[in-house]
Amino acid sequence: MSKEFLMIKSPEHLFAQVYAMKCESEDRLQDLIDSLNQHNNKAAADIFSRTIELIKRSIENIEQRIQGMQLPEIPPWESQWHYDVQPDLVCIENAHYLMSPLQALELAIYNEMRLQEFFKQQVDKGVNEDVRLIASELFFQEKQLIEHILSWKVQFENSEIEQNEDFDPPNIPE
Amino acid sequence: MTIELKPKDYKSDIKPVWCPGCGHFSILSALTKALAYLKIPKHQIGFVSGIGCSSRIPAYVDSYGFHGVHGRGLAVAAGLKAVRPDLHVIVAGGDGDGFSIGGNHFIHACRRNMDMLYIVMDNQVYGMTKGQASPTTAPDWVNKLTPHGSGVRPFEPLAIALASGSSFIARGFSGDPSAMSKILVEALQHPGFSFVQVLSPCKTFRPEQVEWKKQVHNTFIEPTNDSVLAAQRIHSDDGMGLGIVFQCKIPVWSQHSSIQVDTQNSFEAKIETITSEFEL
Repeated sequence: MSKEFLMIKSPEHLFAQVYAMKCESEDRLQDLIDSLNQHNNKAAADIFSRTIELIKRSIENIEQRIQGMQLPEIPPWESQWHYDVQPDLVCIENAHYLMSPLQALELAIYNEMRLQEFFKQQVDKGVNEDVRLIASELFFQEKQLIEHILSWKVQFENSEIEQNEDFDPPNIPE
Repeated sequence: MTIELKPKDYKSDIKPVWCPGCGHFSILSALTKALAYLKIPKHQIGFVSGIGCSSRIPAYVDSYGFHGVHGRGLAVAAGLKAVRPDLHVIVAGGDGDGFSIGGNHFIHACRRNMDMLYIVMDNQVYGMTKGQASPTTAPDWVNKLTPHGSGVRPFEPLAIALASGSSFIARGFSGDPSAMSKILVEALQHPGFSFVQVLSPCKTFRPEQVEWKKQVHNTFIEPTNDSVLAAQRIHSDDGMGLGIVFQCKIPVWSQHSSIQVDTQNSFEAKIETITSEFEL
């Protein structure tokens, strides 16, 4: 399944879209953190907890930007991104209760990279100059965010990362 | 004054205990989006379930809820809707709960056509009890408990729903929560019994279901009200087609029933009878 790329035509529309995406991302990431904690995978949960703090900061920035703006209401199925799921939403099927911190980190980076690509497409193919300008700004903010998350990778690259083990494994084929 | 609720506001403070990677999270998200979109007040929702991983969902929604007994979610919901027709009654459960233990309730709920939404979160496995074959499991799925496969042909939920008289039949996929929220909006607005099967991968016991994302396809673009055409659509599909297959308008049970239940009067009438009998 793939969706056609749809052009965002006004800054209000772009902000409505980005705000909805970031809030959804925060909400779903919190679900994953809670779930990982429930399954006693504190190390992976910690990576996502650090990521969610960055997302919260992005939300605060957007909330400041949209003060006084009249944002359009967009039903979830009319969202304008080129992926089946919203770009920065955690790809839930890639999460696992045994995932290592490095895998969690790579997933967090992958999500943000998809959002960065979303902004790039708006910059490259956009028809509204204001939208392109804002998308460009958001693209660089996203780039900084990715670099920040990437900087955490160093602590894992030099250490031996083992796949977590379940001593009472699920009943899957041997 | 109407307070506008966001999808997040429909979530309760109870944290889901589903496994990381479980498709059910997306169903919860799609449902809360649909409720927020339709601006349904929380106190007008009655959320009922059976038993299983999926049946935990009423606890995670901030509404009235009832975590029932295995396979009996629809029976409880029918009672609730009969006495409180003003409520938006939603029922949720899994494939084992709905099609095996509750299979009979499913058939009769379809033909009764009470105005409610039934979501089956189908992962083709009994996850809570560690991975037994369920009614929708393929006959050749091998695991420790069925080393040669179950050898039983899978239950076909959409075909059974159609044959049993459901007036709204759809299939969604947890990997596409936005499209699913649209199906749920349509289902909640439909007057009558709305059945939505949601393919929801079980990351822990069916890790191979991660491939579903590549296998699903948007087949049912527009619903039909022709049951023969709907049957053709269902039988020619590979079980991975998404969308609203069938939708028709038929009498809803509460509207044409000869018995209209008024809880307050019934209760008072009972008290009066007891009082007169015992001459209190």
